[in-house]
Amino acid sequence: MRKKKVWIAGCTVFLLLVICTVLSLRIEKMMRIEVETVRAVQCEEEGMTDMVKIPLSCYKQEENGSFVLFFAEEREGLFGKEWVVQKEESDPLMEEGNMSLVPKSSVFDDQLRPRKIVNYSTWPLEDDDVVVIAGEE
Amino acid sequence: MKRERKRKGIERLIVWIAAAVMTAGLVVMNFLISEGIKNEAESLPEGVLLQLKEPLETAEIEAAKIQGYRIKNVGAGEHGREIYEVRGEKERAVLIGKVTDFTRDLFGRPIEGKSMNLSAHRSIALQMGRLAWLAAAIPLSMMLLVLSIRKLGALQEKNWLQGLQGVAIIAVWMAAVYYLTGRLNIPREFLPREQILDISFYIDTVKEFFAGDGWANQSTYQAIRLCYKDGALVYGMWIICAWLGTVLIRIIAGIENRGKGENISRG
Repeated sequence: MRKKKVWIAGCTVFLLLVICTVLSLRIEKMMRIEVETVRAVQCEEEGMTDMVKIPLSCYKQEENGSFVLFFAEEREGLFGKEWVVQKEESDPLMEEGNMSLVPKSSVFDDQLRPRKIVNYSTWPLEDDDVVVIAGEE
Repeated sequence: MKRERKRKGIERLIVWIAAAVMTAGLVVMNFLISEGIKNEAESLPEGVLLQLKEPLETAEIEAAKIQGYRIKNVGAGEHGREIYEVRGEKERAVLIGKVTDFTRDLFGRPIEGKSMNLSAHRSIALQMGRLAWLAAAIPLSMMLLVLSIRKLGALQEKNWLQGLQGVAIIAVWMAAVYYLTGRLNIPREFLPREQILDISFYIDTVKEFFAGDGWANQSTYQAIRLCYKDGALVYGMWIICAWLGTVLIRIIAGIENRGKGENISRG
């Protein structure tokens, strides 16, 4: 009788672990933060071909007062490609209306493609957060 | 003995028929309820409601049109603020972080204010039926899990058939839960930042919404509130019927099994 009780207790624990594992797949997907991204726009003024414009709203202020940009990078996850945000410190150097002028090198990747910069997010972001880009689900 | 077995078979059949009738009744009830609530939810607008400290100029509204946003003044809010409904051109949800950032991007100047994501509320209102199904299945799920664990316990006595039945019940239950949860699309702002089981977050969110601070006189807010109240009332009653029916069937089946057990011990 005791043996059966131990067996049942073991089955219960195993079953709870299996349920939590299966549900965690769903929960992980539901908890991804939705973001909107923008890409830098080329400066059209003469002599500013090395500069690009990004919205000022892309700059997020940290607790210590510094400003950061969040870049959405695609990477290979356990179940296929996923988007992850990378935080980089960056201060708005030159402001023009609601845009900031930044060097091209800071917002373009090694293949000279414009990187996706997070503009809005449903929750404040942290480095390495897995996100979902609005409109690309 | 033969007559006894026949009687038991008939009783078991009655329990199954009662369960089938109850399930069919609940499905039909849910279908009828869903049509009404779905129509109410589909009449809710998409977009975002903005309550701004400073009113917008006509030129700013026109400039926003060029950027693909339609803006409509929907009346005055509290403390002399103006309320605007903002909709994206492509009718997808307008994602908004800080109101000052959004207004700076759209109108060229940061304006303090509050926002309410109408698309998110519409999405939740349309999914109340699916959430109701998940809630209604709770007592049945618990009973099935207890039954399956008992059947798995029979494996220890080398009763392979019962063990297999236990595994089959768990597999079917898990597939059903995975399917139902996969059909949910809860807007991220209605889930906590870190922990999905942060109950205080859900309680505070509901309290804050129904307090309607600053939105109380606004007709869209009232429409959403009414939709939620109607859904909660109607689906709440449906869930209670489902729970009571499940418990009743279980009691009847339990009485029938106890009777079987008494006869076996007497025999």
